[in-house]
Amino acid sequence: MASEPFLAVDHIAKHFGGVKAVKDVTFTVNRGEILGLIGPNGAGKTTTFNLISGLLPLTGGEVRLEGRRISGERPDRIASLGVARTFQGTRIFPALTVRENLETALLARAPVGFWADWFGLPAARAIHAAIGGEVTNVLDFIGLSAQAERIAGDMPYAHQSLLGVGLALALKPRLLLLDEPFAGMNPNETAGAAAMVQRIRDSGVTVLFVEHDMAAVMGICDRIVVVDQGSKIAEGAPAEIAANPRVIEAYLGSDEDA
Amino acid sequence: MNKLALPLFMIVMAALPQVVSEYQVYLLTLTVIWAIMALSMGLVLGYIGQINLGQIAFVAIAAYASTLLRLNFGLSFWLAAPIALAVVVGIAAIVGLITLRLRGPFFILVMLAFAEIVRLIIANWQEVTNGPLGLRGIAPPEPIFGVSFASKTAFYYLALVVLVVSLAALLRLVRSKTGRMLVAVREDEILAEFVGIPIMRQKVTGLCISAFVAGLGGILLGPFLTILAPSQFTLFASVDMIVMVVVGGVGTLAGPIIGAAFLTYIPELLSFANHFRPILMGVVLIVVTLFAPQGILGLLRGFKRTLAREARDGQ
Amino acid sequence: MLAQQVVNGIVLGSIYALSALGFTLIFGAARLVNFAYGEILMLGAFFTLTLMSALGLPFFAALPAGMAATALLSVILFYLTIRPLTRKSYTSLQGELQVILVTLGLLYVLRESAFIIWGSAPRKIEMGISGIVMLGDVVLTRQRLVVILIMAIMVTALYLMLYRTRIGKALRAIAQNREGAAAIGLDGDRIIAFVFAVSGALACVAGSLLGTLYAVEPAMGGAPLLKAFVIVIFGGLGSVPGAIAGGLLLGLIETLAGAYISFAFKDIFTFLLLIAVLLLRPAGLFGRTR
Repeated sequence: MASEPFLAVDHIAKHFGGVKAVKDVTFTVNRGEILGLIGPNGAGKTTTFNLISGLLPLTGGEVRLEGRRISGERPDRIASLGVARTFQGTRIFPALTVRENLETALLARAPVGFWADWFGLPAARAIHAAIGGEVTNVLDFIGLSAQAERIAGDMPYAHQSLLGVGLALALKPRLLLLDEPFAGMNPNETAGAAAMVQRIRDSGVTVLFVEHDMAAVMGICDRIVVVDQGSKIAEGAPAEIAANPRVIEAYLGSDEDA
Repeated sequence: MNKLALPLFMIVMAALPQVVSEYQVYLLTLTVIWAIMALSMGLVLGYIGQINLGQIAFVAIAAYASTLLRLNFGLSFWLAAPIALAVVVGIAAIVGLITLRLRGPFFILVMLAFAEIVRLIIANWQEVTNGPLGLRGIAPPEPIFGVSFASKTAFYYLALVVLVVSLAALLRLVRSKTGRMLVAVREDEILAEFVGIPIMRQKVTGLCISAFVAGLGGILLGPFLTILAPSQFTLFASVDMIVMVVVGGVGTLAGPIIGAAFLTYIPELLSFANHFRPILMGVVLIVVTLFAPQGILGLLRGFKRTLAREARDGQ
Repeated sequence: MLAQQVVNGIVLGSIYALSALGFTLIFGAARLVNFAYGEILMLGAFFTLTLMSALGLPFFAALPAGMAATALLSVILFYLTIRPLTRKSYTSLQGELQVILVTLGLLYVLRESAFIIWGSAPRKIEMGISGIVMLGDVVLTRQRLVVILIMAIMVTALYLMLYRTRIGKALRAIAQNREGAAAIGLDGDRIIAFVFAVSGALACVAGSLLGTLYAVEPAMGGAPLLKAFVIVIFGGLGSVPGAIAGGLLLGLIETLAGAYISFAFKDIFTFLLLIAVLLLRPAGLFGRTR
């Protein structure tokens, strides 16, 4: 078992009716690295991502976390095993403030008794106070301290996106899955978010992210996996990937709207 | 200011019977009971995010169960009421487990069917409920701790205490974990499930609490009206509650109470003919939904914001 | 006698099917639950009745005029109350819930308006057809035979409209894919307004026929609305063939349950069946489950 990688994606496949969105993808993620999963539009990278986080059931293959099979588990169960994700297009609780969003994520699994909390008993208050402290930490980390009291749904998209990452971090994951974290961001915001991803890794969390835009990925990834038309076509360090003719062909040949 | 609102409301409501006529006390009691029922609907609309056209069934079950226990088994009001409330919460749990899986129109239709079943059972189970003629001569609650509820004013205070305690309890509830989890589920079920919220359990809990509050209205209804009949518990009673919540402001707890006051007390005060009350309800519901979906509280908030902006711009 | 009950059930079911068609068309095309539908049906019956009593028209002349008037009213109400909501993005409540609130408001306003205009006394519409037909042992009044015929004509006309005309095709396109239909240049609002017109016309026929068999009164809309709910859930919300089959089925169930189980509890039986269907087959008895 010593040789078992942190996350093993083992010959996974997903068919929607006759469409093979993911044909056969295999790769591993090492503990403490930032791995980028890239590919042109429709390559199957988001489907791969949803298969790992349990949002979609697999057609074939399996996913293991530290040797333990996690494919087939419910998404919330996978999350509680230490695999948190963000959602494409960002999911937040739009009517709540930024602080309340993070509180909600921390409170969901907190051992607060129904009656104790309703009647404000000291035990429940202590937990709320502890959560308040954690929220402050997460706010600092994602750089939204100044926006803490804003209604989340009213914020610009880039901030909502950061909050989405914050919600995932609030689950205290060991592996963080980010779905297009830089989508809809200007170069400035992208640089800030990239620095945050590196800080997340430095705090001991392994990061796997899906990104459409190759340039944004190159600077921060330790390794990159490229998928096209449902299959892995390349894997390696950013410099190798950038020079790989199959990758260049896949990007130039398939779409121009990147 | 909000911290002051509740005590101020209590003082005003408690002082009113000392200065108004007996008919006004009757109207105030009616308003308070409607406010309790509207509060229960406010929880469903604002915190579960559903329209429940079957809410009146919870009121009906509590009203009939408590009254039948008194009439047929000679129980005192104070023993019959908790039993009736337990029955309502139990039924809400079972109904909720079945129906809260359904979304949008399907939930609405199946809860409507549930309420119709309850009403039809009451109307047709003649031996027990006396059918459409209803239960008559329901006495006020028996004296307890030396307090008699025989007078209209005493009963008003009882209803007021129930309202204020419910409101205070719900204000705490929506600020507790349960309330936050309900809002999270309402806002985004997928994300809520992902952060680890047991969705069905939260929704069923919410419906049970709401049914409990509706039941509180129900147990007061019999002694207040002295008559219970199936015709009081139609779809339209549920709609009335919805109108009150929408008019007052969805997603708040003060909203339903303001709405109940506007739609019970004011029409009666202006002594509208009975015909015009439903039309008024309908027009108000349409106008508010189209032009002020945040209700009276939303308008007030907007007004306050405008004032603040003008004050700022003026400097 | 079973055969007699089955025939009675089919007559009742024909009217139920007609009632449910207009309701399900609106849901199918626009995803709107129209709580005011029963009141449109009631007003349709009053229009026919008033045309007959005020102008002395015979039933078969008053009915088409009543249908036109009801269709117009239905379209006006759509533009006044529902379209502003489907246009606006939602604020505090989801748009779907807001439409339900508005149509509930309309329900009150329309019913009470009818009450003020026509009073609460029940009145019967005279079709002017009498006599009976014997089918073996089964007795059928000519009037009831006409009810079945009218329903057959209406269903045929609806099918021709849906499958043989351009607007019918547009309507089906919108029902299947709102964005797609908009992308190929179909004007959603005008088509939905058209659906409201058709729905109003069908409601008028159903209401008028109910008026010939029972009575016209302001409170008559509640029962058909509830029946329409039950039927469209039996048949699948939005499905036209489902509404016809569901209507006939409900008519039969009610008549047979009333005759052989318990008249007083037949409605309870129907609603329990409805809940069972919703839970076991949410797409309806005849719908495909996904």
